[in-house]
Amino acid sequence: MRTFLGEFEQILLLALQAAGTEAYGVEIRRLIEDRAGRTVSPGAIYTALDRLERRGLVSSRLGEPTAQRGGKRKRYYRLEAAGEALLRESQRALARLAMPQVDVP
Amino acid sequence: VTPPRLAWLALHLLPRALREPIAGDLEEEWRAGAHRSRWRLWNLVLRSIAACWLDRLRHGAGRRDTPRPKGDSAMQSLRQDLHYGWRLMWRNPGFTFATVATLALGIGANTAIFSVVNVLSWKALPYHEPDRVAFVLGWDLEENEMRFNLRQADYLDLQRSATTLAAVSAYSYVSANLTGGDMPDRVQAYRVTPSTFPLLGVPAALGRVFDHADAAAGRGDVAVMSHGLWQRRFGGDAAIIGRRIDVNGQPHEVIGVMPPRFDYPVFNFKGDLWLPWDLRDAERGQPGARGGATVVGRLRPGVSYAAAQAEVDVLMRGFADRYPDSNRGLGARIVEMGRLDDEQAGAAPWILLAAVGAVLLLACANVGNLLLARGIVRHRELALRAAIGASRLRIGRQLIVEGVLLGLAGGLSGLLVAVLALAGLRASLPEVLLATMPNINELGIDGAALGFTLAVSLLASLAFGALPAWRASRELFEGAQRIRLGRRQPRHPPAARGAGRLGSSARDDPAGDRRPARAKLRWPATDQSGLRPLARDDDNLVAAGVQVRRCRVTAALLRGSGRAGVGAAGRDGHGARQRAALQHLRPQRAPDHRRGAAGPAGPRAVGRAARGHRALSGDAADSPGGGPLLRAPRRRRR
Repeated sequence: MRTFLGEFEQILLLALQAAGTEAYGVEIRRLIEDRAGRTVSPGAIYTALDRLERRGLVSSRLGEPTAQRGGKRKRYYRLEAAGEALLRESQRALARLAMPQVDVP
Repeated sequence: VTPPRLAWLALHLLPRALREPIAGDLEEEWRAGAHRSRWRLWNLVLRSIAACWLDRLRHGAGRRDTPRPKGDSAMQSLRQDLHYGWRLMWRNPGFTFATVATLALGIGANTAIFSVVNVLSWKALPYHEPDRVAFVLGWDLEENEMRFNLRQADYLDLQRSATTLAAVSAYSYVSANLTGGDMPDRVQAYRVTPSTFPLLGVPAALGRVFDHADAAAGRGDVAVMSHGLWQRRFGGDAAIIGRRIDVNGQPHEVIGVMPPRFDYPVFNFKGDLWLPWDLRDAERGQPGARGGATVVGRLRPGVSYAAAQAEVDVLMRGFADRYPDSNRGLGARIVEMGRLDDEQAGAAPWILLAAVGAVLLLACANVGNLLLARGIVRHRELALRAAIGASRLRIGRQLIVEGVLLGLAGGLSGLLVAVLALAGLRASLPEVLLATMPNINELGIDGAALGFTLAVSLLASLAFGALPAWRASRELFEGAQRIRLGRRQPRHPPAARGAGRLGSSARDDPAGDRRPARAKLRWPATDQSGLRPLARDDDNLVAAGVQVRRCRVTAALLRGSGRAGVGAAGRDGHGARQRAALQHLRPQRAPDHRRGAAGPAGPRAVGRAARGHRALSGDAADSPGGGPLLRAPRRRRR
């Protein structure tokens, strides 16, 4: 099992974190588009979330069908503790890399 | 606000698991007007589909409940199939010989005829861009028949006037005596205009060819010779260049030797010697004007044959009007040089190919029959393989692989047949054909013929192998009740051997019950081996004793199924008696009957057949009597 996060996976987890409790595809997509200025397809979002779920980093549940969605159910995703920890670690690793180089005694 | 129907249909290309949330999101956004345009929607739909499938390719298809059995990769099992097929061929030399010989005749005939047709009709002439080199043939407009030659004056006028032709040349046959060496020789010589070699675009293999510069310098005493003549008469001596030879008493300097594949002209005696042709005295009104010349032209790039023909028609009509004495009723036809014999041969090549194709079909039918007959003989073997877990695909593929092996062996032997046939054919060809047909010296097995043979062999093996494979797999898997294991009926009641009985057919059943045999097993209440019915629900259970006598064969056969634990069954050596109990539980039914109910020494391998999977668990160490207990695949069937 991989122990690191890809760039897109970090973006997704950050979006889930920003969304607060739980979020579904449309919200996640809007968040990424508004804040990261990046248009991603729903297919890319759900495949990546599916994989993250299999790694236990996020969890999901099905919502109720609505007419607005043509009778299809929403799938809500929630950031799990393991996902939050791994996200934090990934962010720290990036931050460490971005820091100006200092001599380590 | 209803979403575009086509885009929604396209969403069905998404994997089922992700279709609902993705389609829901897109529809929600569409209704909210978030996409603004159809194109943006399509963009998202197509990108979603691509993302899902790319991800699947990269990471595999989601959760997998059952791990893939190890040691059963496609390549490995294919290698087993090949190995087994190969051994079968060696073990049945009579059968193999009959099929391979039949196929060899069929494939050999096809290869031989293909080579002939390829060389004579399809192979390009040895010139630069040969499809643009054309005869400008004299044509009798009144009789509407070919005259072949034009007049020399026509050639000169055409050369000056035709804009659709990049170059025009002419040749004329000269019967030549070659003297000056040890002994005189008679050769096929041609006078060709200086434009000839540049038109054909073929450089000399040795020395150079003559062209307009030689004509301008007044060099009429040069000669270019063929590779054949150079070899035949001058022993391939490289010092031939610059040497003087006498042609009909006139001295000529040899300036070049053409490459071996060069034939010119074609459909006429192939030239051995080419001399420059001076046509200065052939203008209209001069003495040579009415002499004949065979005219050859090269079409300008991008000019069609129809366009060239149209221009030449106009020009020839003009000549006929201006010079009625010499040109009345004389037209010209432009024919691609390599196609001249096609026009004469018509459909003959195709008829030939169709005829030998029919011969091959007959061979395939015969081999198919042989294979079908052998399929009946092999029924027991295949049934056993099916019983211990070989899938329908696997058995079908085994038979196809055997067919392909036979086909390739037939193809290889067919090549030999073709070589012999071509040698015989060449020997029987009339001399005039050998002397005039282009490319005919290359008649033989070349790359194209090899490729053709390979393709025909594979096609043939599919043709004769597919039917037996389909039939065998259908019989084995769709008519499960007809599987019989064992050569004889058991002499002793099955209870004494500690296993259930398979094979009481419908005939034994007074009620005429035609359900599969598994429904009619009779289980002993109990017996000394400890194998007892798991429950009274024996409708769902099959057990069979398999006594394996020919252990060597069966070991391979068992290994062929590629399952761990089964292979061990055959290693006990020749003559060992192995007992395998084949058991089956109907899916979804028997979770409660697992293990515990079977008693201390009961069959451990009995388990739930999860969703009809045919995973075999050969739990050899735990099974009573040392033999493995297998859960056999069984297709659920009404």
